[in-house]
Amino acid sequence: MHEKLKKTLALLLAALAIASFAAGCGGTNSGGGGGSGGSGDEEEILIGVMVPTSGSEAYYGTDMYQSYMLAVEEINKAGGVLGRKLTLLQADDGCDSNIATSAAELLISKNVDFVVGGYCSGATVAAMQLYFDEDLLLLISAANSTGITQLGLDTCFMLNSPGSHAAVTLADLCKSVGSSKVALIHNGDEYPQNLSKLCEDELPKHGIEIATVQVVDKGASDVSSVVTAIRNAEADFVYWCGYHADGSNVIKQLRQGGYEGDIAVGDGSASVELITACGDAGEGVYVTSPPFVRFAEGGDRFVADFKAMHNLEPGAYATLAYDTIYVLKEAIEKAGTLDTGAVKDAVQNINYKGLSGTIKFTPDRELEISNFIIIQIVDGDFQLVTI
Amino acid sequence: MKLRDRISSWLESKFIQAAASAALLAFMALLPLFTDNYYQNIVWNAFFYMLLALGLNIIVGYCGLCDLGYASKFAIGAYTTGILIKTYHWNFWATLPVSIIISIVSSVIIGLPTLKLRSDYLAIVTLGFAEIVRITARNLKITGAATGLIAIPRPTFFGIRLVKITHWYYVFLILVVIYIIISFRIRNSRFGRALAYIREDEDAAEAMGVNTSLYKLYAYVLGAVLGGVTGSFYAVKMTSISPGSFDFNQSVNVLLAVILGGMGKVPGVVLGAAFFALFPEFFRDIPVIGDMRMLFFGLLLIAVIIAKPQGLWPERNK
Repeated sequence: MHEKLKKTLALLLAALAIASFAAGCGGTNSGGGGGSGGSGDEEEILIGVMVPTSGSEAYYGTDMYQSYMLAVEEINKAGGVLGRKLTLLQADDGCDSNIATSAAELLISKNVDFVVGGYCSGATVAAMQLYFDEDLLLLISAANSTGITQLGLDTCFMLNSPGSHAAVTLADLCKSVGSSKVALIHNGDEYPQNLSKLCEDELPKHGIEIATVQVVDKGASDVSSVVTAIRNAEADFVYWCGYHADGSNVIKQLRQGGYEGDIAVGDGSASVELITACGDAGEGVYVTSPPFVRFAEGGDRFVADFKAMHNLEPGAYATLAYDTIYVLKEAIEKAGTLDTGAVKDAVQNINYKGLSGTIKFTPDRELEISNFIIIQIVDGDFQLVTI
Repeated sequence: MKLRDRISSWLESKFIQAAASAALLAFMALLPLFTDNYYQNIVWNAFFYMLLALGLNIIVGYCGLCDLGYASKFAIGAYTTGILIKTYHWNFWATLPVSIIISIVSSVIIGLPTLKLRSDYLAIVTLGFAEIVRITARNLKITGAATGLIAIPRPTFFGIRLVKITHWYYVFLILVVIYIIISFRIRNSRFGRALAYIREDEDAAEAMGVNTSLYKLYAYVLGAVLGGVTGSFYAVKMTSISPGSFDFNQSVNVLLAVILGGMGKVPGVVLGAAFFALFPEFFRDIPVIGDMRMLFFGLLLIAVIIAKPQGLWPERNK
């Protein structure tokens, strides 16, 4: 290579590295639940938190961490668990499997007693084996690919409804709006692909035809070919399985392309940002959503406390994160010890009524009762839909 | 003799180099005794980038070819091993030769038609090939689609099941030493000199009777094989691999480590990879700067490349 070319190339790559790495790598944060005060004579219970606090999913990870902080503060104020205070230690998984293993090794080396967290399914899967090898209990608050429980690691529990529950909710929604030909769109990422596959299996059981399954490239700006394919397939219902950034683009172009049927999006798009990104095109769009705190029983108090602590609105996974800490608390109290085996058995048999719904586990350590709700964008805001 | 030259000639004396290498190796070998899992994992990550950078260095550094898709080479090795272990229940060590063979075959298929052209074309082809590999892996059933392969069983080595990070620390340390030896052996061989000749002036090399297309292909294949073997070990260390681990950023990272350290110079490349993997970690716990460390890292990279376009520890022209 010529000298000049080499230098230009190097500069270009360096610039690229800034751009890409602004999203990369991880950070750690440790902090008790705010003003947890003196710890007394007893040792604290150290809970590792593995969530993405950098990269594209940082918003959700931070939201979850803030929710954990709120729950921990409440519990500590009320006297802790078994008379011991809870302390959080956060490690960033960056929504990336490489960074997630670093985060797991960090938490393991700090001798955490339990681990909570998990937003991105891919990153969570990468770290799970490490926790399992160290005999650490992992309560996964948000990640919900069925691939997680298929690993069969019996120290990992999934507190969010798996995609299979979303498929059932979608079938109910289709029936209630009278749709019979559904088009599925996903973007090839782990969870969206998993969700699309689950819907393909589930919907025909309810007499609903799959008109077509389309794949949109992540970040693609022009999806007109997909719009045409959907119109040609004469679908009267479109379900977007991916995340909100690409989803808003798909919705806008569907409407511009003259598609007039119903549109629904999956839980990956359940964010108020979907509303702003879609604008007018978003009116009437349904969301098969995780338990949004605003629509939860007792949610008002939670929102007020969350705002008081962080000066922010809680996000879509805040309720699940909050419940996770309480499930852990109840399980530890039932077990009466911090021993992983005993606490694990207590979690397996738990029946906890939380903000996100009833938390009970199947023998496969998945949530037994679906926590999915249906919400709809009406006049630029989410509204609960009951069917 | 200026002081600077005296220092550098002193640094390049055989005895000092050997002593320094031995001391460094001893230090690395003893490091796990007084560090915890977290630091071992960070250093492991540096080892991992060293392996990739050393493999790419043969293509980019020794031969001057521009490869923008090195992630595909390492993906091929990782998926070969992953699929053979997961689906066909092979022993890990038996998958290594297959991984090498598939790396050779795929790189010959890509290299044969394109290496006859000048390097710029190769950059485009390798970039395209890397995307093909990644998107294929994302859509095939046997590669686990977007989920990738998960729960790949850990291998055993003389009865020890390689589970702990300390095990992997030593495995990768040994691999780094092997790769460094291979790199030096190549550089000092007739083959290595031919590659340097091609890098400096391809026309002159051809005029002097060096079969440039063939040598370029050899270098390309060799780089791919080293990448493939790294990928195989990566798959069993991580126990899960997914297409996201092999995207364009990964190729850029490795190329950056090579360019940063000094193309063609083995210690430089190792240093570049270590710098690349470790630097962001050092800044992690510093308040304010910690959150913006990637910005500083990027600025530092630009500064290094403007000030020292040949890299941190470049090869001296002899």
